[in-house]
Amino acid sequence: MIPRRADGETARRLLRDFPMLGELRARDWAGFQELVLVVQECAAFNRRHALPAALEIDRRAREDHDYFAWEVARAGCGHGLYSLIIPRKLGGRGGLATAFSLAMEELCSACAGIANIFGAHALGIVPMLTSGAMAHWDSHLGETARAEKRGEPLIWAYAITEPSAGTDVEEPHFLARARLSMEARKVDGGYLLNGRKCFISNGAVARYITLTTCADRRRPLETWTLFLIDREMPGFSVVRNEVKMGQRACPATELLFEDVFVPEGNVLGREGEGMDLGALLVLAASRAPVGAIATGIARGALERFREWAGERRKGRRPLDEQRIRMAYADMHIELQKARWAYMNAALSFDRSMGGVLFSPLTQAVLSLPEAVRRSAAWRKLLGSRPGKGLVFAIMRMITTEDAVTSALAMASLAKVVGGDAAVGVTSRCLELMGTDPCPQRPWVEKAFRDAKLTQIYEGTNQLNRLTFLEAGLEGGLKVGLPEPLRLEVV
Amino acid sequence: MAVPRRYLSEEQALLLQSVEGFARAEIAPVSLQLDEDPDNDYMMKIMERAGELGLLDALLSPDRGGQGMDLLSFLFSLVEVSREMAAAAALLLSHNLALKALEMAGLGMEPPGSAESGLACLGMPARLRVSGERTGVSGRCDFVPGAALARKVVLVGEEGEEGEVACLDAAARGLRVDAEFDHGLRAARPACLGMEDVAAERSGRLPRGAREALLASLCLGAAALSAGITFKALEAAEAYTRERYQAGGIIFHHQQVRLMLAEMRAAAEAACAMLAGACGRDGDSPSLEAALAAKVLVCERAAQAARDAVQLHGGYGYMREYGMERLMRDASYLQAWPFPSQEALLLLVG
Repeated sequence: MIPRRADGETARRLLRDFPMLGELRARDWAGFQELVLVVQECAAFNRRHALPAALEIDRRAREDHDYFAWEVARAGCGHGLYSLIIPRKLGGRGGLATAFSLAMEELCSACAGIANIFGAHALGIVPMLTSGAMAHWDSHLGETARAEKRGEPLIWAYAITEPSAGTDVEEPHFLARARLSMEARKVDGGYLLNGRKCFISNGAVARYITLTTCADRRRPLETWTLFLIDREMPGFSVVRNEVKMGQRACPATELLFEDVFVPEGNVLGREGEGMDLGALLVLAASRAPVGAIATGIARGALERFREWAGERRKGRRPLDEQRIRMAYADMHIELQKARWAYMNAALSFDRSMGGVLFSPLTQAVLSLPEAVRRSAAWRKLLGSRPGKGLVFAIMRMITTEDAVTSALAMASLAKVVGGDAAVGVTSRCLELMGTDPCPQRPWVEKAFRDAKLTQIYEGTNQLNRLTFLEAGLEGGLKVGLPEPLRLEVV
Repeated sequence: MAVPRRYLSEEQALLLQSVEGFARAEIAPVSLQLDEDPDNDYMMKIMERAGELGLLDALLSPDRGGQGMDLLSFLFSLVEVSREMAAAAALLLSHNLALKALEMAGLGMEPPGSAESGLACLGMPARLRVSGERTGVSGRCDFVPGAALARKVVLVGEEGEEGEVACLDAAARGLRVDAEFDHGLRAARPACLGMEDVAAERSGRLPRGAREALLASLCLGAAALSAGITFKALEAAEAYTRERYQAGGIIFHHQQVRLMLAEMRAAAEAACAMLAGACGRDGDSPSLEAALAAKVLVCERAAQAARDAVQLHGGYGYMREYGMERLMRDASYLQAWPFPSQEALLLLVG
């Protein structure tokens, strides 16, 4: 099922679209071949599963808001789409932002809704990696990879947005003054979570959810904390799936937490480190893929547009008209800008955080016998304060706050460029196609509806502009790496 | 009222007050459901109520039993209706211009514009081949608002100063719906119609200059519908941003938010001015050049306003229940109908 050999055509296309990958190929031939394989697999998934079903799934999800295309979700297992960013030693493919982004562009060129099932899944996993939550890697990430091999998707989600706070929870200056409704109250042995999270992609179908919330609503920034939630936890429930304009194959869900007890061991990082570990580092990893999602949507629309423009109607091909050729060229330029922006950001993230995941120390830990890694004592050690401190020490040895801050800036830029390109290109395609009831129209209309979300999720493009400015140019925003040893302030 | 008083005569102001009341009371409460379920026959009840207000025979001359409303008053009425639901305004536009085309061509439709006679819809520009009176209409029209609801289809040919006009029974043999459009203006049930040797109930030609006037009216109608969308986007976004709390205050206080709202306001103001300017001093002498310019600019700005309204609502804007995403979908069709902007621009320079 999964193509094992990288084909030359895909490799040439990647090098044409991303000249910067030439350097990677020269330095790490196997790594480049792996990227080619990922793209091939996504293209195969599109051909076999996404393209034949995309319009029908979109229609059904419009009529039935609780509809979820499990058959397509299951098909993702055969192409390794649930383990793209899970470390190899845990049974995954070991990709990071670059592989994830390339996969997203490819998948979204067919259907952004279906792609987002895998995108939101990976987003749910990212905090497990960025927080260095090694105590849970074998159990949860390993379980995810094993489930995939059995053909049974174990889906993740990431939950930060609250009904009264969207942008606020993605930016430290805003969070400090946010009006939050959810809270994790410290109790003996853990936390009691109460409140709601909304617009959670995959929320209705996810087994595991990584979630940020505050331990004290009066001091949200200081107590912002990252948690690992299992949907089996008593008190957790799904309120409803939202009725969205696009990307309908992936449900956006409101989640309710009523006295959900989360044990201390499910705190990822430490209390109060949620903004850096659970938000900014995650966004540094995920905004490049969102730029790639947008790029894929624009690419899909543009491919359909090219088909349309090349067909003869009223005796001539639209593409023979100069105005259409100019518009087509303009749209390609936007697409290419979006590609370079997301690839630059993805490579930047992989350079800064990839080193942590691929460091000899991390690899040494992952090379321990599985029986050791899965033992209660080992997990207890890694989940303890000294254990977490050790992980953070490794993190600080291998990367710097400047590097991850720069990655966040590039990722925010990529998200803005991509989202704006997607909306611009899809709108223009629709306008140029006029009211011709051609077979390409439903696809371009769907792309238009799908595209708008890329300017909204993962922080609105307005917020991303400010983040780029503050993190990239003005120095007003810095991503903090946790201190190995931290004095507790009472 | 959406349209500022400075553009209105006393008479127009009174008319728009009643249209606004109708739109708010009859259309706004059901607009979401009608968009979700375009087969719902409640739209026909809305059209009946519009008929009681004189909006189903607005442009027909009084000696044909119509209201004799000037074009500008009608367009401003459409702005008010479109503010609540562009699809309802599209049905009114399509119906009224269909009757107007028949009147211009000296062809009747009795009784005009009543609930009993059902809706008519206008297919313009249509690729037509009319082989003779009452026989043989063939061709295609890509986008006809109301096509799946109307009882009569009025087609106006796409070329020539004296346009061919044909009136078909919607149930006539050989007339088929080739494709339905369900992306925007859903409740207007727009469709692509194909004709194969359809027996026309009536056919004829428009007098010299009438096709141009009709085309101008159609372009201005699309602009009026877009203006309604701009007004709605502005109204909803301003209300939301004045309520939505973020980082210590309401988001209206962000300068960038106010700029986006200001651009919507400027677009709405420009739309009214362009509609008024394009209808001539008497409000009833549309200029094709001005209409094409208005169609391009007003529709483009409305599409931008709709996108901005979604953006200002954040995640909620993307959800159906807030109604902003519908504005975006509707506005995208109005940019392309009756011509894409670039084609309209090229018509402008000849």
